[in-house]
Amino acid sequence: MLNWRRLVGYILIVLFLAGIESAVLAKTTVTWWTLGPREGAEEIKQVYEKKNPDVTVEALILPSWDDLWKKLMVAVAGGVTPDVVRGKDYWVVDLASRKALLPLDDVIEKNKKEILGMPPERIYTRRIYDLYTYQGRIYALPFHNFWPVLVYNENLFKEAGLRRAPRTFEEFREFGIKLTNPEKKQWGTMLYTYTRLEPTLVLWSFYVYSLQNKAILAKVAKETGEPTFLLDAPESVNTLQWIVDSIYRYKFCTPPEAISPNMIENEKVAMWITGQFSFGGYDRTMPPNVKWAVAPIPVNIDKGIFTEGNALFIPAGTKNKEAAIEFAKFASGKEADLIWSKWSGTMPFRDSNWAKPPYSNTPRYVVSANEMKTYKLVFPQYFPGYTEVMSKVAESLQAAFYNKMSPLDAMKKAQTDAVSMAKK
Amino acid sequence: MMEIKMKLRRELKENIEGYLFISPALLGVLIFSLGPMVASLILSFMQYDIVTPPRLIGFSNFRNLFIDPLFSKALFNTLYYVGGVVPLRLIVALLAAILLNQKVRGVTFFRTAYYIPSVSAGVAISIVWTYVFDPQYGLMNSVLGYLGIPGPPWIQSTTWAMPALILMGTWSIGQPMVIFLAGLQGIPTHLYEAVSIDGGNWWHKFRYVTLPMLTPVIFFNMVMQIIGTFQIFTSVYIITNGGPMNSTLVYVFYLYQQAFQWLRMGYGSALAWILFLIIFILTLMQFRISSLWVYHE
Repeated sequence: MLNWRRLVGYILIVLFLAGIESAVLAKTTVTWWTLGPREGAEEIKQVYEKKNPDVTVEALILPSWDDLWKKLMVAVAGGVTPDVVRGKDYWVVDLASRKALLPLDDVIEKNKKEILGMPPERIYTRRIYDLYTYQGRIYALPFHNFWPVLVYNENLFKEAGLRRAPRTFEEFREFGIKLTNPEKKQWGTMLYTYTRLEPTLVLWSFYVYSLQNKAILAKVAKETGEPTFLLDAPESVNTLQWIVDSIYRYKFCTPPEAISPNMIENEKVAMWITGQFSFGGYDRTMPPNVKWAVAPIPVNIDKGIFTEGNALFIPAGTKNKEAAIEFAKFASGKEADLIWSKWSGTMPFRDSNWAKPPYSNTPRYVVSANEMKTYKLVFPQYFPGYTEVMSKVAESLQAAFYNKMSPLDAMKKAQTDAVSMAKK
Repeated sequence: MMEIKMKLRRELKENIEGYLFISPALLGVLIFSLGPMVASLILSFMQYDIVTPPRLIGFSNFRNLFIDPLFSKALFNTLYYVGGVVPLRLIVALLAAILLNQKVRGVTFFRTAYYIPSVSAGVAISIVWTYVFDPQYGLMNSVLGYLGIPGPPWIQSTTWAMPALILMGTWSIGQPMVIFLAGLQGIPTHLYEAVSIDGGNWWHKFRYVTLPMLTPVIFFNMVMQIIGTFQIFTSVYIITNGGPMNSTLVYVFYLYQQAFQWLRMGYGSALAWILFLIIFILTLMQFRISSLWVYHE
């Protein structure tokens, strides 16, 4: 006969043991919001989970930066933030100024070797942290960085009697004029973008060309994070003048109204300064006669190249602070850097990875690595509200690109707009 | 007395049942429409960036609207778009409805075909039109090229970007067309017979029977189209992103930029309420003027 009391006792013991087991085996879940390529994010997640069996990484891959930004804002407002986010590096200061991020200086200080890497990498990664610093505290770890590279069509160069890519901005203009053929509607170059896509991308060309004049759009006070705009300074105006001249005076740069898709592939543009973020799609879309070269370098001043990228940050509302920090450290580390570069096709941002194939033996990576090793890095200056202010600045740049405003007037307007927006 | 009690109980029961039946829809309206509307009205008097708590700033958002050059630009662009799309769409929809009202073989197929753009995903349609308007390889300029007309740069041009969006907007005639079709089928045939007996031709039938009899439908379509086109967003978001140089910055896209890109929820809410007022006043005006031209039997 069944002893009910004994049965209930057994059940209670089993449940108790099951409870203990599940408590012991309970996994910590780290939610990570990022953009694709999906395979890259999935492999980083899998490798991390393998190394940390007690942690599950839930990777949410958003379709665009715009979607990620909006979703993040709603999550922050609702107090249900993810644990780790990969975002644009100019988001960091903006979010930090809203007290939405966890400061990470202690983490970096404790894990110097692991996070900063060894010299010379440390010197380079150190500089990146300036981008993530707000009022003296660091709020993010680097994930991915890019700098300009030149794409050029070897056939069109040969037709114009040119045997190599331009090395300086002076040569860039000289070659551009030679490569322009109005009858064939063929231009020497085009700007990175003119109007569509994200407004801040309009700034890419400006930043690239600004190196010639040492133009700085804004200086940011380290203590307060407040910007001082230098948009109407002669250096900035001259930079825009150089761009506008390339379109309307020397006519070697495609005017905005003549832009159409795939101009490089269709041999309508002979050379283009893009970023090494284009490496990923290069093999799939570009004909074999299209080559890579180091982007033109200014000769009259410090030789520098412009760089920006993506960061990993931890929202202040994270429920798993320790686990989030550990995962962010891994995702920003050497191993994840290689995984991400493999899937995205871009250059690893940690230079200690450049000695490994394919980065050590593929021409485009070698070109890009040499560029990075040789020249001084120039970073944009970020401040709270950077995206909104710079979108307004981009409007003025576009007005000049479209020849609707002189470069001087455009930069004066940009300065007035930026100052008034910063005040707001 | 007992009977009255019974009646009251039955009425109460019926009322409860009625409310239960409509409660899913009612809750939906309260939670997802009225709730956000009230919230946006409150937010329009506040400064709110989602992340930090809202701060009451009185009428500042509304005052700022009138000194914001992009507000007037967006309003002007929207009026330009509405002024272009609504008449064109109504004319094309009416013509299509007249054609589809004929007793010809395959008319059901054509009715479906003309309605498809109205039920297709706006994003997909916009992407297709991006290729149509490509200055060098697009269908539009290829056709113009065959006719010996040099095509403009369309969406890359500050002058042509808005006409390109208007052309695209005109393509989506499905809804007004179906309503016109229903209107046409409701016109009594004896009126056409009377015109024929009087010796009138097709033009007389159209001018003196079809058009007057359709005025209530034209009026309805016009009101609905004006309300709808004032809220143009998808094609601008996908094709031009408000550019080039804000030449296609329309009202709702500007509202979206302010609220969701720059996180100025208060300002975005103020913009939304001003848009509501504009549409409301315009609709009222249309109703006032309608007595001058709409024929009611």
